[in-house]
Amino acid sequence: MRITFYIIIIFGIFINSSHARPVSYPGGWTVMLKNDGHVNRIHTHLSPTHKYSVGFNAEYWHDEEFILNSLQINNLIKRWNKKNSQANFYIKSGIGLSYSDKSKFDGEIKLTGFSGISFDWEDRSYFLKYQNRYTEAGDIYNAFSQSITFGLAPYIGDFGDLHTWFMINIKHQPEKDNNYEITPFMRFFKSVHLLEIGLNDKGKFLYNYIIRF
Amino acid sequence: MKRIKYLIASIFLCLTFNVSASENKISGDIHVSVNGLVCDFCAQAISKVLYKEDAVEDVDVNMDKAMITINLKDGHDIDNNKLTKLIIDAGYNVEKIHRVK
Repeated sequence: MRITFYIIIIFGIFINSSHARPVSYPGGWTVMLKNDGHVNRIHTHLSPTHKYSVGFNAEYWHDEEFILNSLQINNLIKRWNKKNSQANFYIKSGIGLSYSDKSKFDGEIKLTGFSGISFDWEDRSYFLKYQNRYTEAGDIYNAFSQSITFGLAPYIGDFGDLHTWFMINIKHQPEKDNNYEITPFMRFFKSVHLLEIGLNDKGKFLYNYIIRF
Repeated sequence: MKRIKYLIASIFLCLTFNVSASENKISGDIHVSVNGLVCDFCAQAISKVLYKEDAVEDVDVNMDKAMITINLKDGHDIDNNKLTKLIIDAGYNVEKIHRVK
């Protein structure tokens, strides 16, 4: 079963990448720093062509006490460009190694893979996103998570302005006892910088920063 | 409570200033109408891609009109096929290309 999962991931990384589009433009770099109180993550990627991006992803999961270092490929499977809106469908997959500090897993290293889909739609006033991910790290960690995000812009800015969004994210992790988490947050972006700040219903802070160059 | 009201009013004043700061900056040799131009953060790719071209002097993106305006350097040009490919590389679809000169 686990072998099948890794085959799917490898298939997703090396086959889909030739038929999809990336998040960024050819030659463009993106650095993402994400923190939601449970996971600290840094994801850096380069888009060699306009069809996919390849990068390095590192995560630290607080409760599970494990570190994941992985190669990640994001494939833009389909983009819908309309006069006043845009929608995107991605597959995100990664493969790497996990290291756990937690009790019985102390010092254990496992081959780890993850894969998921992401769909977003936005116009200049509203934003909607659904994404999920299944992570398989042997006996260290196996979990599915999914989330939905809504956004509302209080004003419409033009190119180069400071843009502000009121957003809310609802995250569902079926394996956890308290398996829903709601995070209202603010998104600001100007030029190539994007910042998100929020506080969830468990009292954990969200702070994300993205830069493209 | 008064402080919060002043803070909110100040934020909206700043935001209004920011919005009004964006007017069309260049007259342009080429005007390109595009589809999907809704996110400023994503649209930064347009100027990144176009400024890599030797022929491009200046680029302006107008999100209200969903239009990209390009000034070319003297004696330089970009043909429509190449321009369309550059815009697609940046993540958008070309609706119409209008050349002033």
